[in-house]
Amino acid sequence: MFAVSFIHVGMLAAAGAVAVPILIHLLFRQRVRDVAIGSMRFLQQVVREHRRRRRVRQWLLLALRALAVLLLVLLFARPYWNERRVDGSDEEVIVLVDRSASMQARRDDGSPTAMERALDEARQEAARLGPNASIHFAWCDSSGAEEMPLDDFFARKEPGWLGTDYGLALGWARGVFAQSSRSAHRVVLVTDLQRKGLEKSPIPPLGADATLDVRDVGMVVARDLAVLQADAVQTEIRPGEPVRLRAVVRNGGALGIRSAQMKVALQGPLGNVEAEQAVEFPAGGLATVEIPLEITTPGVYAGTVSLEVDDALAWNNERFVALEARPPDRVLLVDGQEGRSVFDSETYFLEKALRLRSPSPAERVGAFEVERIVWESGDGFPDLTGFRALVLTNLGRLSEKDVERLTTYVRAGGSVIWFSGNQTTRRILDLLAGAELISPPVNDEPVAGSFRVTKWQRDHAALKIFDDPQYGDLRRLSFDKLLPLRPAEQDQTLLWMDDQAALVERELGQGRFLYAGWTADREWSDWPRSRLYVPLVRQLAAYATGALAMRQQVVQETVARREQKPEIERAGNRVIVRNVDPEEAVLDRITGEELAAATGAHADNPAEREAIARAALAASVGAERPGEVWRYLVWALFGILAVELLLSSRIHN
Amino acid sequence: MKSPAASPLTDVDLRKAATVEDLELVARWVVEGFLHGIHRSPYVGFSVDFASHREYLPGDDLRHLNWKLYGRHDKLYIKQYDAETNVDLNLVLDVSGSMAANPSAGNVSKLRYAALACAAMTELAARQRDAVGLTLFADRIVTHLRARGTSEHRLAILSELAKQRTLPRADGVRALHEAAELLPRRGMVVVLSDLFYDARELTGALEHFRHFGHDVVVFQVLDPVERGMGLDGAIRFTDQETGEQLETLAQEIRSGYRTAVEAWIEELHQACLARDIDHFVMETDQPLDRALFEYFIRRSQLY
Repeated sequence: MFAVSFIHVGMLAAAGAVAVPILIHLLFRQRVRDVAIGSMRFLQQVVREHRRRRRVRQWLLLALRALAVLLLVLLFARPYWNERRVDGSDEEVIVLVDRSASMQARRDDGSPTAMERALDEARQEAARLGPNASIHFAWCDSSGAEEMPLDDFFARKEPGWLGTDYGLALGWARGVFAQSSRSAHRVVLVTDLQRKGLEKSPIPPLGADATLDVRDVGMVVARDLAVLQADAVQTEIRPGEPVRLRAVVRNGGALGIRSAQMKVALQGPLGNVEAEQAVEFPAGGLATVEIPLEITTPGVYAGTVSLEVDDALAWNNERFVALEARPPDRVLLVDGQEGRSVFDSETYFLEKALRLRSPSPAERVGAFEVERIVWESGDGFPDLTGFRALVLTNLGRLSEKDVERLTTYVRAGGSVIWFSGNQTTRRILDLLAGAELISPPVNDEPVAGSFRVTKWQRDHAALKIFDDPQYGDLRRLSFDKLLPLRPAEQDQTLLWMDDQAALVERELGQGRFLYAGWTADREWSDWPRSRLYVPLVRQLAAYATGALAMRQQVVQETVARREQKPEIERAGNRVIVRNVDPEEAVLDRITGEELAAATGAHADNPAEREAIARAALAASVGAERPGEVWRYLVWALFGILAVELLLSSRIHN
Repeated sequence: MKSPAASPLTDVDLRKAATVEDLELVARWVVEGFLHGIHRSPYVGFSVDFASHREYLPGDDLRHLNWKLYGRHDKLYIKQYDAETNVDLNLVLDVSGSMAANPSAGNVSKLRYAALACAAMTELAARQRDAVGLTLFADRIVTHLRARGTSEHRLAILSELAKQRTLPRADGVRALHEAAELLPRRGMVVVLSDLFYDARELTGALEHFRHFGHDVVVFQVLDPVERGMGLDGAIRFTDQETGEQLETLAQEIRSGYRTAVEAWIEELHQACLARDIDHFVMETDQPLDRALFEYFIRRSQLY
């Protein structure tokens, strides 16, 4: 059965206007004139035919006009169908149960967890409302609200790993109420009232006809330690070097903890790495703990940092962590000419650029282990074992034996970066070409002129970053001399200067030879002073040492989807460390009144309640409530006015 | 033949013709205006002495030819002595209650209008040296003056016409039959009435006149409102004779009323035509010379 309600009930007072057409009809009736006529016989005949029709028309006209006024009044009052159930309940009820990670909290006495108590509350609510009530069951967390059929809803027993967001949940509820044709709306929110839930999405007003029933299943925790963060102190972890693991712990309880064991358990490539430390945690604050680790082998070490305590929330006592230990990239700089001072050496700027340490652990180009030799005289190259790359600058002496050793080095997997110079003669280049390390040069000698970088291989691993303007524009580089190559088919030209191949790569065996037709120092240009010098040199070196290649990489993530959980996930060459949002570990609570006040559902101040109701009404301007019948009223009004017009024109015809 | 245009002399305030003297004066004015119009009308080619002439027939005495008329109209006419052209004009006037109705308010009543028409015809007949009689009827014969040609008789007629009288309710057409019985001598009978009678009974009464060989002309006198219902608004109509009342919105019934009245007039007209009776409708807002004109034409066709 349906009853009609009105959005603007006050407009019904205007129904008194229906008296207007009646008064007009009574007051402005035409006055009668007296006329004597010779015979009534024709009048009687005609009037007899018209009298009854006329009377009916006049009453019909009056009725139509009164009805038109009434319809207009109803239109402004905005009536809508108000569904009523057989059992008399006209409420739309939404039961929202918090399933955020904090709902795992429990008391020390072994009583049910917040989640278990929440399910009990939901069952009681379902039983109270009866089978014919309009009720929605939904889980809520930081991903929003997920409505489920009753059976599926109670099949779930455990909370998830996401955070708390009351704004999202109540926003969803508001959307459900907007579609509802029932007159009263109620939200039953079963939650642990975590304060963080108020601080994420804005809390929407639920509407003037909605009530918020908050069921508090949370608890005041006496003791709660939470590991909020765990990572290595060093940005680069070298096997064999001291490593310290840093953990940030929060004591959310009212009491301090004198001694709690913090354990680190990591699984590495050749075995486990474990450490333990007793730590003290004052009440209500943060503490940072550093635990030394022994890591001797390169690779990824993944595992957990945990506290051996028994408190309200178990999952925040532990945090997943992963570290990557890598040996340094050894680079040998071969200086072809000792300068008059250290600043004049060919490799001075190179060494400085390569010895820079990267500030961010996320930077893939880490520090290099650089060694330098001056090779003007003496025997051939030193032992090249252990060096990932050679950087040869302005070599003036090179024998066939040297070239042979270079070739062996490259074929075995080493990489060479060759920088030209004034000592780079045709003979030396022919030796290199003869060993198939490079292709023949274009000219016998360096060509003087003004050479500017015109293009480069933008998808090359070494040069890709220069697509990002923050690294600088390579086209700013210019040189006064150039010793370009004529690249062969097996060569890959990486960089052009005025259409000349200035940087050419050749793969040979398992290694590569990179030929640069310019100097590493300021001999042929002032480019070491350019802001492009350091990134370009480091990129070329990282490419040569293989640091840019895909290796195992540690990625930090926060649980963001319902189907995810905190864990270490290995995906190809990546190690994904996924933890719960650390804010969810903070169990500070609000009161039900605070939450209700945020929605405006239970304002105690009458003026504030009125303001909220007015705001809700204003927010609904232009929005249509389900069940509104104004369309039918408009069509009915048009129809009545059309009939009235037709009828009145015929009467006075 | 078309009626000549009304002359200024016929457009008098007939409501003010109350006494015999007034009536006589008005009648004279109407007749003189009518005759003036006749003179000037291109449709009428005769002189004021039209009634004393007839067309030449072979064998007529050539001494009586009117050479003036021949010169004017290129046609031969014989003068006739007055005695040969005298006609008894019998005016039969309805004085029942319905004739007092004046729904237009701006015009004269039907009775006043018909009385003036009778007075004008009396005046015209006197100039033609015709004898004139008057019969007033309502529920009975109210007055009957046999047709005579003297001036005293004419005054007596005017006197009767000018009398203010209480108009009784008509009682069918019995009085018309009585009037017919009072006119045994053949002549011209002009009936002036609103004819609010049963059509069949009425034509029967008019046939009675024809039975005695009279040449009958019926002038149906109606008020413009009675014919066209040219009123608007809420009207309470009162029957002049019975006092019956009826209230209605005039514009609502106008169309149906006109249709009914015109159908009735047409029925009467056809009934009269079938009996060789001339039937003309005169509305009280029209000039009186229409009646005179029809009398004139009819008179000329008779003789």
